[in-house]
Amino acid sequence: MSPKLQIASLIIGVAFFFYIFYVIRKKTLSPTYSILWILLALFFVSVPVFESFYVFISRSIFGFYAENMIYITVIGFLLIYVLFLTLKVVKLNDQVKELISFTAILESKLKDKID
Amino acid sequence: MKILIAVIAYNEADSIRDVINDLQKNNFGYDIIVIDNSSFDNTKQICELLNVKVITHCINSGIDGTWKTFYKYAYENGYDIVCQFDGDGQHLACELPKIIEPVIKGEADRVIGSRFLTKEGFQSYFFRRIIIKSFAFWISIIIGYKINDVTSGFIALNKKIISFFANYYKHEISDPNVGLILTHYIGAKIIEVPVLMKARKTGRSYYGLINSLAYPVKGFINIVGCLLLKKQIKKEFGVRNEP
Repeated sequence: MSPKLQIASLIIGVAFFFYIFYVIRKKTLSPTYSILWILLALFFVSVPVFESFYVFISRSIFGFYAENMIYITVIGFLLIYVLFLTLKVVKLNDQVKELISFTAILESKLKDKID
Repeated sequence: MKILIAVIAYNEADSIRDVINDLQKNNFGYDIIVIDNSSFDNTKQICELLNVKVITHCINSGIDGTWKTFYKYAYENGYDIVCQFDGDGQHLACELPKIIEPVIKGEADRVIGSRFLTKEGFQSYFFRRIIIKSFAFWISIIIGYKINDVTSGFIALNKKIISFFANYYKHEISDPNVGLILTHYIGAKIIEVPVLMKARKTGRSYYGLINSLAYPVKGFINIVGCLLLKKQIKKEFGVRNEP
C-alpha cells in the first residue's frame, strides 16, 4: 500500500473522529447515530497502523490489492448507512402522516364541541 | 347504516362548490366530509360556507396522507360504508347509489365505479388509457378475475376494508393497485359496476406529465411489494381460500 494512501487514510480518520466528537458534544448528532461513523473513522485510522494485516487479508482471502479492499469496505459501509437512513426516513414519514391525520381529526372534533 | 362520502380536495376552489352542491342535492342519507390537504386557495372556506364538515391538514401530506385521514376518520366514527369522491368534479353524485347498493346488500366489500364497462362518458386520455389497460391486465391475473378500471377513484368500501387501511397497512394506500391487491388478500370481494364520469373541469390533475410517466414505474414496484406481502397478510387475516 502506498505511503500517500496511508497518510491520507490516517488524516481522514483522525479528522473524522474529531468532527464526530465535536458534533456529539454540540448535541447535533446523537450517540446512536454516531456509532457507524465512529466505526468508519476507526477503520480509516487502522489502515496505516495495521497495514500488513490488511495486505495479508486482501491478498490471501480476496486475492486483490489492499487499496481495493479499502474502497470496497467504504462503499459497502456507505450502502449500509444509506439503507439505514432510508428505513429511518420511511418510519419518520409514516409517523408524520399519522400525526397530521391525528391533529386534523382532533381539530375537527374540538371545533364540533365548540360549535 | 352509516355512510360517509369523503371528498379529497387540494386547491379545488373552482370546482368544489359544484361538487358539494351536487352531493347535497342528491343526498339520500349519507354524511359528507371534505378532507382538505392544506390547500392554499379558499377550498376550505367555500366548504364551510356550504355547511360541510372539513378536516384540514396543517401541512400537505401527499395523497397517501389524505387517504390515511379518510380511513381513520371513518373507522373512529364507526361508518359502515365509505365512498371516495373527487373534488375536481369528475364524479357524479347521482351515480353513488350504483356503487353503494352492492355493499349494502353484501354482494361486495369493494365496489369500483368503472368508466370502461359501458364506454359512456369521459373515458380518460389515450396515454393514460393504455397505462390503465396494462395495469388492469396484471391486476386481473393477480386477483384471478377481470377488473377493467383499476385506477378509478370512485369506490365504495365496507368496514372490513376501512379497518384494514386505518389500522394495519400504511404505505401507498392511495395507489389503487395496492388497494385492489391487498383487499383481495384479506378476502374481500371486489366488483365493478358501470358509472358515468365527467372530465375534470378546472385545475390540474395530480397525474401531470412527470407523475404520469412515473406512475407505471411506481405502480409496478407497488405491485411487487404487495406480492411480497401476500403470505403474511393471508396468514394474519386467516384467509385460506380465494374469494
